[in-house]
Amino acid sequence: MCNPANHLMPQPARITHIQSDTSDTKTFRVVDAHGNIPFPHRPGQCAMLGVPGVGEAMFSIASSPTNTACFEFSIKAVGQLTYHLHAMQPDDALTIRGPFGRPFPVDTVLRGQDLLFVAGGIGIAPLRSVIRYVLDKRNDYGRVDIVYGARSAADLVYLDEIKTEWMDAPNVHIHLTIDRTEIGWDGHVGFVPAYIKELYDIHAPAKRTALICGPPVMIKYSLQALLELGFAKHQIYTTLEMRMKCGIGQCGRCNVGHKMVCIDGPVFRCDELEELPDEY
Amino acid sequence: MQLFDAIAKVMPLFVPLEDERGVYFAQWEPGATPLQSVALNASDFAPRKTALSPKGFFLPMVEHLYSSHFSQTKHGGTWQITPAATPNAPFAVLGVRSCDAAGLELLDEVFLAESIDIPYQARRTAAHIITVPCTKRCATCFCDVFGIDPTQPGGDVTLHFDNDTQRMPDDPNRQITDDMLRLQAHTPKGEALLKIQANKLIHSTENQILQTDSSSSESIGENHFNEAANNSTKTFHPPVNQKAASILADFEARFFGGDNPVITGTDATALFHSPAWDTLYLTCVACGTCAFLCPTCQCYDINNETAHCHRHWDTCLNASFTQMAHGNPRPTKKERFRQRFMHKLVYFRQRYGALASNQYSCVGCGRCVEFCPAGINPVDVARELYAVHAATSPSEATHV
Ligand SMILES: Cc1cc2nc3c(=O)[nH]c(=O)nc-3n(C[C@H](O)[C@H](O)[C@H](O)COP(=O)(O)OP(=O)(O)OC[C@H]3O[C@@H](n4cnc5c(N)ncnc54)[C@H](O)[C@@H]3O)c2cc1C
Ligand code: SF4
Ligand code: SF4
Ligand code: FES
Repeated sequence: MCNPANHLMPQPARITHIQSDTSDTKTFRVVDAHGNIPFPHRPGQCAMLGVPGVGEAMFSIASSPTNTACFEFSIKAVGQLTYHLHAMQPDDALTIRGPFGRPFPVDTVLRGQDLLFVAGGIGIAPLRSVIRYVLDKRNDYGRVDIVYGARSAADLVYLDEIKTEWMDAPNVHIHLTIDRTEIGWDGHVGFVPAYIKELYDIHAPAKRTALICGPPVMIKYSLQALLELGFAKHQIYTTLEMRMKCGIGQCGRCNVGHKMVCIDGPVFRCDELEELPDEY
Repeated sequence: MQLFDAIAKVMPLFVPLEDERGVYFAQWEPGATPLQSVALNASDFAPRKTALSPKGFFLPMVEHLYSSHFSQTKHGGTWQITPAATPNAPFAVLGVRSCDAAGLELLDEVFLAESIDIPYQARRTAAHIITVPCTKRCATCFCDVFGIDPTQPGGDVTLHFDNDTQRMPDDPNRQITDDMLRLQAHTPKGEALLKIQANKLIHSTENQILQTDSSSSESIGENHFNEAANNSTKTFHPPVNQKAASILADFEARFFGGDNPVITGTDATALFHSPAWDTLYLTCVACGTCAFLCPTCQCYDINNETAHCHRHWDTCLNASFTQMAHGNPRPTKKERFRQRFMHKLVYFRQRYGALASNQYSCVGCGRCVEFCPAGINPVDVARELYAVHAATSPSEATHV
């Protein structure tokens, strides 16, 4: 048996379901050897998925802790391990270890707040954990706005789920956007940061928190847009991505200044990032 | 060497041995004589340190973490993970210097504080660190700049030479013999080691076990020992590396102290953006030698590309270290060089400063100074940073 205190030691896991989201992203349901969730987690935390002989990499746990049946990971194929995962089938074996990182403060700071989610591309994955959590505990939070953009309609991860589940939830407002016009798309066209500013009802009341995740440029300009709309930096959370190996602050790989993203992050409040070098 | 043999009978003993490459820790074969084959040679014992630090005894250069075996199940299959055995067999490392003993304490802050690294912890628990005080300075070292006393190396046991050490450098062929050695325990583990020896050694060797820090009343030959220790600290204390000390003091005062430090609180961005980095990195060839030799460099990689998962030393100077699919946050050698020295001089202190006795991730062992092909070292980097920033606020730059 693996040593529970040894964070480098993975445990066996199994894929139960694979859904193709976009041309390069699939969502995997994963359970442990006994068919249960591998370990408890909080929204925003990550896990190391591995295939022995292929590689191991960090992924956001895209499911909410309220889903006690399995973990979900939305994974974009970019390299050795992720291409291998994309070629796998339900019932195939993996390894998993975690959870890693500091989560979003869903049960403290975010409780009772109006929430504005700002996501670009695969950046929706870590936010989805929070979104699902909030939808499952709908009365604990105020108004929810989700601004989500991708290159094209086909690149919007979870589009079916958004249409069938998120849009119908009470007091949840979905704002989708794609980079360029395309046939069959009657929604908004344009980049996320500009879209945020266009949305007349997104302003910054005292009890509102924004959560941003996406490519670094999108994060940068969305942050600017939110500041212009009157958000204070401490009202904005984001997540950082650095290459990771250990997940426990020891292999020295993921630091931004003196912070280790694997344990001090990946979730950061924007005012915390101010004193760090912008090396991410 | 009955003393070495006695320890080696109980547990593997590693001592600095010299071969054509230089001085490296190697396992002591009972019965060997230390002259020539061992760096514990009367002429060069005091100033010689091992080319590689003892870091590898705790964080091995390559370490097997676990093996994975695929087995078929009714659900398709599963991976059976077999962890490597926890390395808890006792061993002893003799010849650890003050700098390297301090280096281990800094690694402890990384591997035993926020989360525990199980194999590292097991090896730290299993190890008996037998230190030796330095009586002569190496050409390149500067441990005392960081408050490390080269004559008081700590560890579990300190191996002193008799109070006649002064004669040693003059007599290159003088063989180290048991009667020259004096042992002093600092920890319960060290005391236990000395007890093992007392039982296993012949009567004459027993006299070498002179004093323990905690049970002086029962110790043998206490007065004699104190004399030896006093002699070695008073008479043979090597001079402080004044040049390095004044550079680090300037650095400390300008960047962390005074009314207007460059680093304010935990915000080191001003130093991060220093124009000094634009030229400092130019001569570095990114060979990684410095990190490889450094007793305080912690970085490792985990390799899962075979069924036998290994971890091995890595360094932030490698271009692939932070490479990701969407890009690299440290795209050129400049950013990678800056990372290494910001970590040594600033980040380590910001993260572990409150815990660690030494504020820098450097113990002044001088290995990188000696072996960097480009002649780069942390003291010079500190000096250049200071030179650039001293000018930005002249009133701050004066230092006594
Ligand atoms: C906290 C965190 C959360 C994450 N969450 C998610 C998520 O939810 N979904 C998701 O899809 N991804 C996520 N990622 C990213 C994910 O970890 C990477 O996509 C994954 O590591 C890629 O692994 P791979 O083996 O497929 O790629 P690799 O084969 O390791 O390569 C990835 C890319 O890096 C480059 N590269 C790798 N090694 C080298 C080298 N030695 N030299 C030069 N270039 C190199 C390659 O060019 C390649 O394009 C997350 C990352 C972090 C840190
Ligand atoms: S030893 Fe010198 S040249 Fe090599 S990586 Fe270190 S600083 Fe650069
Ligand atoms: S930075 Fe150089 S001098 Fe300092 S501990 Fe490391 S190798 Fe020794
Ligand atoms: S992943 Fe190893 S230190 Fe963060």
